Formats: sequence, C-alpha cells, structure tokens
Amino acid sequence: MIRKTLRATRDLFLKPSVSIGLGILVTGGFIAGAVSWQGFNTAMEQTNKEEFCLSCHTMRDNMLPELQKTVHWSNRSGVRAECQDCHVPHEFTDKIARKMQASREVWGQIVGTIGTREKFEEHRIVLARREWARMEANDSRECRNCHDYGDMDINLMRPTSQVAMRAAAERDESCISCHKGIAHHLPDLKGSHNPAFDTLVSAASSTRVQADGAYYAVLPHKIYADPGLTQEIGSLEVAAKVRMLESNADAQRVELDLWRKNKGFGRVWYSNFGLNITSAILSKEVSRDETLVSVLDTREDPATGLEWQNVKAEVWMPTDSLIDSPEEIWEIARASYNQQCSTCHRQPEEAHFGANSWPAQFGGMVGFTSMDDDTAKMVLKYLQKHSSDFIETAHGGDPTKGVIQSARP
Amino acid sequence: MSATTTDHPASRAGARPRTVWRDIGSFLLLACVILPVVMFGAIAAYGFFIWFMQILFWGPPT
Ligand code: HEC
Ligand code: HEC
Ligand code: HEC
Ligand code: HEC
Ligand code: HEC
Repeated sequence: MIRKTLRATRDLFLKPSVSIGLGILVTGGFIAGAVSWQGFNTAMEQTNKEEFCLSCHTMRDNMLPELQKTVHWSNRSGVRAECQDCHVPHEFTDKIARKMQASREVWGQIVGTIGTREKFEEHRIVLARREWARMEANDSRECRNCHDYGDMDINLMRPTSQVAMRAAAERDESCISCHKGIAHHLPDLKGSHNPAFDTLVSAASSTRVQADGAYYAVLPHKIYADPGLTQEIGSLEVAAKVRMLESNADAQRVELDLWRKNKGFGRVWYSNFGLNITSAILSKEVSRDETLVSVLDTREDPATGLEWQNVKAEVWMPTDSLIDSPEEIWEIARASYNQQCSTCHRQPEEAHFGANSWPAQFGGMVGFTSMDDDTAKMVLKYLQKHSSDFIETAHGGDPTKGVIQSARP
Repeated sequence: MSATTTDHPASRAGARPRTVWRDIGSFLLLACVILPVVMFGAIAAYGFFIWFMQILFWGPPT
C-alpha cells in the first residue's frame, strides 16, 4: 500500500509526459503558479481586514467598543486606523510569522481562553504584554507607518503634549513607552504583580522575628482580631512599622503605634503626627472600639487645626510577612521611581515636596506609567518617607521647617 | 520521439488514448492540487520557523 503510493508519487514527479508537449506543460505550470500565488495573496488580504478580525466575537465584543471611543476610530481628518494597521507587520517575513502566530488565536478561540468578558479581563494583561513587547522591539513601527516625528509640528500640539513630545522626538523614542492604552482600555494591573516583590517575600520568609523587635510589612497585609486569623479588622500597608509581641507557627501578634485624625470613624492610621502617610486602615466596626484601640496622646496640628490622636492596637497577622529594615523596600521603590517617572521629564528630587503634597503630585502622574497598584502605593510611600519633612537639609534655610520637624516624633 | 516512445510500454497501439488521459490527470493533479498545497505549506512552514526562532532565540522582530 505504502509502496504503491510512493511509486505513484515518484512516477508523478519523475516520469516524463508522453503525450503533452513541453510548451503546454510550461504554460500550464505558469498559469497554475500565477493563479496559486494570486490566491495566496487574496487570502492574505482577506485575513488582513478589519472585518476578518471582527468575525471572531472575542475580538468584536472586547476590542471594538473600546476602539470606537478613541481618536483612531473617528477624528476630524477622517483617517482611520484599523486593527491590522496597528497589529500586523507590513514586511513579508514578519507578516507571515505573525499570521502563523495567529494559530494561537484560532486555538484560543476554540478552547475559549477569552470566551467571556471576565476571562478576557483576567487574561488581558498577558495579551497586552505581548503587544507591548512587540512594539517595544520594533520601535512602534506600526504607529510610525502613519505618524512620523519628522513630520510633526510640535508647536501645533496642545501645550501639555509639547514638553513630552519634544523630548520624545529628540530621543527618537518608541511611542508605546508613553502611549500605552492608546486604542483600548489598559489592562487591570491589580491582578498582575511586580516581580521584584518576590525577592521581598523571600526575604520576609527568611526573617527570624524576635519579641519586642521592630519590623516592617513587605506587602499590604490583612490584620485580624484573633490568632486563628478569622475576624478580619483591616489591613496594613506596605512598609508599615510594627512591634513584635509574640509569634507562633502561622500567626503573629504585633503592636501598631500610629496616629489618626480625630474625626469620623478614625479608620485611617498614619505613621507620623501631622503627615498623611497611611500605614493601616481599620474597618469602621473596630476603629472606635476601646477594647482594641487605646488612645495615648492627643495633639492639634497647627497647620490644619485638626486634632490628631496617637493610637495603639494589638492585632494578629500571618507570619512571613515582615522584614527588619525598610531599606530593601525602598530600594525596589527607588528603582521603579527612577525608571517610570523619568520617561517624560527628569524625576523630581524626593525632597522637592513635602509628605503631604506628594500624594496629589504623584496621583496626577501615576496614570502615565505602567505601575500596578501595589507598586504605585510603595513608590508613593517611598517618596513621602524621603520627602522634605524627613530630610532637614534638603531645603535648608527655611527656619520654620526645623521647628515643625522637631514637633514631630 | 520515435526512439524512446517505441520501447515505452504505454506507447503500444491501443494504449495511447489512456496515456493521454493519464498525463492530463497527472498534470491537473500537480497544477491544481499539489502545487498550491506545497506552496502554501512551504510558506506556512517558513512562518512557523521564524516564529519559533523568535520564541527561542531572536525575540520579537526589530
Ligand atoms: C479565530 C478568531 C480570531 C480572529 C479572526 C482574530 N483573533 Fe485576535 N485573538 C483571538 C483570540 C482567541 C486571542 C487570544 C489568544 C490567546 O489567548 O493566546 C486573540 C489575541 C489577539 C491579540 C493579542 C496578542 C497576541 O499575540 O495574542 C491581538 C493583538 C489580536 N488578537 C489581534 C487580532 C487582529 C489584528 C486580527 C485580524 C487580522 C485578529 N486578532 C483576528 C481570536 C481571533
Ligand atoms: C492608520 C494610521 C495610524 C496608525 C497606524 C496610528 N495612528 Fe495615531 N492617529 C492617526 C490619526 C488619523 C489621528 C488623528 C489625527 C487628528 O487629530 O485628526 C491619530 C491620532 C493619534 C494621537 C492623538 C490623540 C489625541 O488625543 O489627539 C496619538 C497620541 C496617536 N495617534 C498615537 C498613536 C500610536 C501610539 C500608534 C501606534 C500604536 C498610532 N497612533 C497608530 C493615525 C494613525
Ligand atoms: C516620552 C514619552 C512620549 C513618547 C515616546 C511619545 N509621546 Fe506622544 N505624547 C506624550 C504625552 C505625555 C502627550 C500628551 C498626552 C495628553 O495630553 O493626554 C503626547 C501627545 C501626543 C499626541 C497628541 C498631540 C496633540 O495634538 O496634542 C500625538 C499625536 C502623539 N503624542 C503621538 C506620538 C507618536 C506617534 C509617538 C511615537 C512616534 C509618540 N507620541 C511618542 C508623550 C510621548
Ligand atoms: C491605534 C492603534 C490600534 C488599533 C487601531 C487597534 N489596536 Fe489593539 N492594541 C493596540 C495597542 C497599543 C495594544 C497594547 C495594549 C495597550 O496599550 O492598550 C493593543 C492591544 C490589543 C489586544 C490585547 C489585549 C489588550 O487589551 O491589551 C487585542 C486583542 C487587540 N489589541 C485587538 C485589536 C482589535 C481586534 C482591533 C480592531 C478592532 C484593534 N486591536 C485596533 C493598538 C491598536
Ligand atoms: C507621559 C509622560 C509623563 C510621565 C510618565 C510622568 N510625567 Fe510628570 N509631568 C508630565 C508633564 C507633561 C508635566 C507638565 C504638565 C503638567 O504640569 O501637567 C509633568 C509634571 C510633573 C510634576 C509637576 C512639576 C512641578 O514642579 O510642578 C511632577 C511633580 C511630576 N510630573 C511628577 C511625576 C512623577 C512622580 C511621575 C512618575 C509616577 C511622573 N511625573 C511621570 C509628564 C509625565
């Protein structure tokens, strides 16, 4: 059977034709080749159309409504960017490779990796990372097929665009390093995490805690009222300082010694008097509960006239969550800050602002970066803890600074 | 043509029309099925090769 097929194949290719002339064969072969090539090109063209992309509900339901709200769908110039303009390379080799890569999409469609909106949102960060990596590597070539630094008149741009775009054009930078989320919603970065956190977690698991020692939370952690860790009463923020009381196999009792504003529920607890550096957030059921919370001191903040209370509480939290110095946390935060906040302008000195003005400054900018929630919180805390309130010499010469400084513990 | 065709078994009298159809059949098979399939397969193999090399060594295209 196999023999016969082999023989037939060999005959097909090697046995000369007896009755059809060479000229006819060559002409016929030429026509067949031309028709096949045309067919191939048509197929390439058909699969490089927006209608084709949208023929899959995964693409149509998830991506189209988001794109339709952006300038690339409708604008005063009437030039549209379609899916393939941004996503499919134009050079033959890269294009073929991308088309074959789409076998993963066909497979994903069949097994339903992004079959529902929920699944899509969950998986989205993976897909976005692939696109970001691709555009970073090719210097955003697809964007540059339409946009070109050389042809931009930066003076005509909005004032807020000019500083950043002039710097970008000078460095010939890849568009995607600043324009993530240009056509779709950004993925929810909450679920993803900064790989640098892994080193913190492993440092925490090798930290030997001792009673009465001071420790710092490596990541945000939930806190509980009982050693069984069942009654949740709030959460501790990254780098929050605690004093160790006792620890057993999977839970430890720690003391919080923090400040709060004496108004409302007093749920948010800060690390220093008068400074909005959040360390812990308690649930409103327990934040005024005197069996848990004791008030040690009460003082008025001269800057705002608000009354602040020094509060103390003993709470339970899981083990392997603390390290003995915040420096390791600050190192990771500093690296993120220097990298992510320097793409458009030089990152401001940490001590350029006070601890209470950093949140607004930072909050207005963090959306430009790709920091996930936990990293953003950590960087903000780093900036606050290294702000002018903590560095006496940074803006020296201001006599009131030193006075307020000494009034703070 | 005469020297080769005479000792070709298929060229015996009476077998000739059948050979014509066989040749046409082979030609059509080659031109309409095998050529496009092989061409498409080769291009696909090329694409997969590039993609795998990108995954393994090259990284995304620059
Ligand atoms: C067969 C249905 C289908 C079609 C047609 C389709 N996609 Fe997709 N696409 C998917 C699925 C499913 C995924 C998720 C793949 C995964 O989970 O790895 C995906 C993922 C993507 C991604 C994410 C990045 C990546 O490499 O995975 C991009 C970008 C994308 N598609 C663009 C397009 C464009 C542009 C077209 C039209 C040329 C298109 N898709 C046509 C189903 C499809
Ligand atoms: C098909 C061509 C095309 C491609 C590809 C393209 N754009 Fe655009 N882009 C346009 C057009 C057209 C406008 C709108 C111009 C106008 O204001 O009328 C625009 C506008 C913009 C704007 C201005 C938005 C605003 O708020 O005014 C930005 C930013 C931008 N594009 C970035 C990108 C990036 C980043 C990419 C690559 C991922 C990209 N573009 C790919 C054609 C394209
Ligand atoms: C260093 C970061 C950076 C890079 C790199 C960058 N941009 Fe921008 N761009 C910005 C910022 C910031 C804005 C203002 C955005 C806003 O106001 O929402 C902007 C605005 C724009 C605008 C709107 C201009 C207007 O009318 O106000 C366009 C168009 C644009 N960018 C295109 C591009 C393209 C195309 C590339 C790549 C060739 C690119 N940008 C690279 C930071 C950058
Ligand atoms: C202006 C350029 C542009 C256009 C047009 C565009 N995309 Fe995208 N797309 C991007 C960029 C940039 C990303 C990377 C993620 C991000 O920054 O939002 C992306 C990401 C994606 C992803 C990965 C999931 C995600 O949300 O990150 C999919 C899937 C996708 N695009 C499909 C499509 C489809 C389908 C269309 C057509 C309806 C389309 N895109 C049109 C620029 C574009
Ligand atoms: C996409 C580009 C971009 C990124 C990334 C960016 N910024 Fe900015 N930043 C700007 C632009 C443009 C201005 C000036 C326009 C304005 O004031 O709104 C500015 C202004 C500022 C100012 C005000 C300066 C002053 O003296 O008043 C501060 C502070 C600042 N940025 C901090 C940050 C921090 C912190 C980060 C990192 C989380 C960051 N920026 C990331 C574009 C960016």
